[in-house]
Parts: sequence; structure tokens; C-alpha cells
Amino acid sequence: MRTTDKIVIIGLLLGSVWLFFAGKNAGDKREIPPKKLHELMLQKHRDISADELTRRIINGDPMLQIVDVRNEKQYNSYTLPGAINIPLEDIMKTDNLAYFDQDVLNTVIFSNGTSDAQIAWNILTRLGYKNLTILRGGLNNWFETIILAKPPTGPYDKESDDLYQFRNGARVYFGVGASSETESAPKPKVRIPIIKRKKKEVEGGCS
Amino acid sequence: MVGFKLNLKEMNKLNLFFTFLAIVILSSCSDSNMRRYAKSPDQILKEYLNDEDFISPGEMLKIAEAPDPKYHLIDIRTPDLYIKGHLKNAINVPLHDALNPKYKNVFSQGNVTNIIYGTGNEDVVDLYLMFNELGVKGNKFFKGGYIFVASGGKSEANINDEKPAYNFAEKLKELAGAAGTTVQTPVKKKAKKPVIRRKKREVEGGCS
Repeated sequence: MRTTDKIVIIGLLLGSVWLFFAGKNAGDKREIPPKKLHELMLQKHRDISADELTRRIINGDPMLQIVDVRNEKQYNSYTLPGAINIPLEDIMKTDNLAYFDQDVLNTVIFSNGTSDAQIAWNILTRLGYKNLTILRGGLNNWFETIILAKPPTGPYDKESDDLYQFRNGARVYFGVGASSETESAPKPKVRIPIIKRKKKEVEGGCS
Repeated sequence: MVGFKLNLKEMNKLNLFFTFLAIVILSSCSDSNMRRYAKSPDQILKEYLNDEDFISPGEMLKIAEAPDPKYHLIDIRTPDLYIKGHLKNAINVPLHDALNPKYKNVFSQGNVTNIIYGTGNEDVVDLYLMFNELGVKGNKFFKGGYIFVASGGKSEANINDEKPAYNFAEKLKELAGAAGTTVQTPVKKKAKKPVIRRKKREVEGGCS
């Protein structure tokens, strides 16, 4: 082997070692660079609306995973159907990260507002987890939009009316019952007479 | 003097190699603060939970009412909103452009603390995260938004968006009571027990 070749090989080896450690300093191998993360942060489709999430819950979307990052007490008091609880302060625990370590489900993160969900989204996206969205306005906004849905004001508009009808239906799904305007009087229950059949005697035998 | 002789071809090879190495090193060093995180995710989370770098509504109102040279107000809303109205002495650096190198000097003011405000919580938290991740220091963030400060604290503002707007469970009960139904709390679906069907016994008896 010629001397120049030796120098080149040694140089390349040193270069690769240096690049390896430089990469290590930047963080985990899966971590996405800050520039990419900040581009994703400013994208509009980072969040999901209250109506869209409601639609997916009602349709029983099998690809949907809902994560409530509020504390356990708040979660136990009230949460969205099917939501799992991972409090923000515990989001970095290995067991909890396992919920995000997949590329199939669409995970919707929510808190009461947006700030805590933003922090969770940011940390998880930075760590390379995908398919994450934030519930726009959080549970506060969801509750006002769906559970406390108000009829549209102003002149009739089909789109607004359809949206209100959808929200009103969703209220029933989430346990509130239809608004008094659309509710009908309860019907008296009709008793169906139970007809008891006589047991047949065992047939056969010797006469 | 020299232990080995290099011919012209080998010299070219070496030159080419060292030039390549220099380019790699230079490119990785340039703009390094934009390429690497200054803090780990754990650190970011810890600082956020400790509520560091956020200022209270009272502090913000005080700064807005009596401008102090040690504070530098930065409005991160869109230029349109900024033109319609902004706090006295505030300069506009839209959120989408905040990491543009042309604003580097705006945010690095030495002894001056930047007070950053936007439309509300979301835009300010985004910039807080970006700056924290890149290690940009000397900034304080206000979550309440411009409208709150401009009205002298009179307008309703969601300073802490993480505060529950209602006691959700109670409110639901109340609404369910009004509608004459019961509240369905979101519970896990119970697994259906498998139905075991018994085989009909054959009629016994008869002559063998």
C-alpha cells in the first residue's frame, strides 16, 4: 500500500469518528433537526378542530388514538371517550413513549387549553414520533363547541344549520341529550305480555 | 529530509482529500446554533413546568404603561395586526420570520430583556419553544396577548389557557338533568362474555 493511500485511509477513519461524535452531541439519532422541527411547528395542519375530532370519535375511527396530557385527577373527573392519560410531566417516561412509537395511528393530543399539548407535541415530534396533532383550543374549546353548541344566528345558512344539527346530535352521543327545541315528549312504555310455553312431556317409553 | 517521495499525481490526490475534509468541517460548523439543540427535551419540559421565562399580567401591564429602557417590546403578530395597533415602542417580528438571521440582532440585546407578546397563548408558546431549543437568551414571554395589554387589563383574556373553563363533569350533569337524561361518562367498553349454547338433549326413553 502506498503512503498516500495510507494517509487518505487514516484521514477518512478520523473523519468518520469525528462525524459520529458530532452527531452524538446533537442528540438522539432519531431526533429531527431544529430547522425541520420549527418548520413543522408553523404548519397549519398541526392541529385538528373540535368538529373533526368529534366526527372521528362518533365514527369509531380505528386509526384514532387520543391522549389526554392533563393530570390524573382532571382525567378521572372528565375526559373524551377512549382517551388515554399521559400527564405532561410523565411524557418522557419510556413506558409512555411506547404509545407514540408507531406509524399507523393518528394521535390527537389535548389538554384544557393548547399550551401543554403544544409542549407535548413539540417534544415528541423532536424525538421523531409521527402522526401527531393537537386539539385546537383544547378541551375548553371542544366543550364549548360541541356540548354547549349554540344555534346559528342571522339569516338561514344551510352549512351553519347542518353543522349545528351535527353538533346537536353529537351532544346526545356524549350524554347530554337533545336540546329542548328538538326533544319530543317521552312515550309511555308498552308492556308486552309474556307468553309462557308449557313444557312438553317426555315422549317415548314402553306402553 | 523527507522519508518518502510524493509524485505529482499523489500530491493532487492529497490536495483533493484535504479540500473535501475542510469543506465538511466548515459546513458543519457554520450556523451551528441553528443546527443543534441547546437543551435536551427533559430540560425544556422541566423549565416549562417551572413556568420560567413567562411574565405575569401585572408585570406586563407595568412595563407597557411605563416604558423602561431595560425592556425591549417585541410584537410577533402579523404585520397587518401590528399596523392596526401595537404597544408603544414595540417592534414587529412576525412569528414566521422570527428565526430569520436578519432579526438576530433584534433578539440579542445584551443587557436588555426582550418582552415578547402576540395574539394569545399559542404563538408565544411556539416562539418560547423555538428560542429555548436554540438557546436564545434574554427573552420573557407574555401569554395574554395584545388585546389584554392594550385595554389596560380590562378585556377578558385567557392568560392561563390551561385553566379548565368549566367543571366539565358537573356541567354535563347539569345539562343532562335539564334534558331529562342521564350523563354517560366515558367508560371502557366491557368485553362481551361469550354465549355458551347448550345442546338440546335427545329424547330419552323408548324401547331398545
